[in-house]
Amino acid sequence: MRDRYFYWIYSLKLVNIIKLYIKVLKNNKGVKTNNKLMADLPREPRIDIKKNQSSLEPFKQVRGFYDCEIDPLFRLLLEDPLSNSLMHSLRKYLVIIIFAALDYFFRNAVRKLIDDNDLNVVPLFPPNSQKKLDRLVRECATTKGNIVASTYRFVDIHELTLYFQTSYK
Amino acid sequence: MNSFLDYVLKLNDIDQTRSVLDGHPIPIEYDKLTKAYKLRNDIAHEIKPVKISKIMVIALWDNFMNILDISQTVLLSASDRELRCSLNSDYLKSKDRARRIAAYKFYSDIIMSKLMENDGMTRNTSKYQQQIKAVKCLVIKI
Repeated sequence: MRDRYFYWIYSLKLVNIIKLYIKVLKNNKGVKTNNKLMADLPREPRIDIKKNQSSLEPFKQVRGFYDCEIDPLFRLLLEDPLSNSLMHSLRKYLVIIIFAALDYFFRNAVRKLIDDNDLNVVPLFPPNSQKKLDRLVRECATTKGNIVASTYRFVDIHELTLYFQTSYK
Repeated sequence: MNSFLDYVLKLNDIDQTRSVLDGHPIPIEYDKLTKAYKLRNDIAHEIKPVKISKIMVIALWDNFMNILDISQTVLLSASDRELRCSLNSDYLKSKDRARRIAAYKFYSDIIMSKLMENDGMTRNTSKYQQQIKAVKCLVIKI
């Protein structure tokens, strides 16, 4: 009798868990993703002052950065003249700077691509965002490319893929 | 375009040694990139103690440089029709090659198992002939 009672309690709990899971799935139906960080996509358009400075030649700039700053560090890494702790810190720094360069390049390249070719960016934002987009462009005296560059995080390889998938559909 | 990264990856597969003077080919490895991204988050946001090897950092940099080079060409192709056509044809070639490699990998095990079944069988038996026929069919499929 007691076993049956526990069985019913557990099956009820299981049903509740399944219901909760279905609810979560319904709420997140906008974007199919298995990445926790991307659960808030598509994001509302916004302007980020830190990401507002544009570069006309992001590729040249990143290549220049590589020649001046990354290449010597890689030489140091290969030569192995440093202590273990310093070497570990150097590796950590390189991982971070590589992703920072990736973010910088794609943010600026995408901004340039959108503004130069006057691409339609509406599919990148939630439905009915056209008004907000127009308002941002007008009030902040900015461009569509700047808004996309501020809204998306190009450091994330999944988000980058999603951006191109949505915009080239 | 199915996926931007897939497009870049396939274009890189056309010639993996284009940036190499004297060394091994450099493929773009998606798994390594995602792992490195997680590592980057652990370092930058969590201050977790992480294990990073020298080889891992070098592989990440190689991947990044490849992606950067090809992405620049892909982005330039947005306003250059000829370049876009040439990239698309390269992509299709590479896609076809990847499909064929996958088919060879898939069927090679089946062909080997069929050939192993022949062990100890004389060539004149009908069973042997049937198995050879099945292997030939598989090869034609590829």
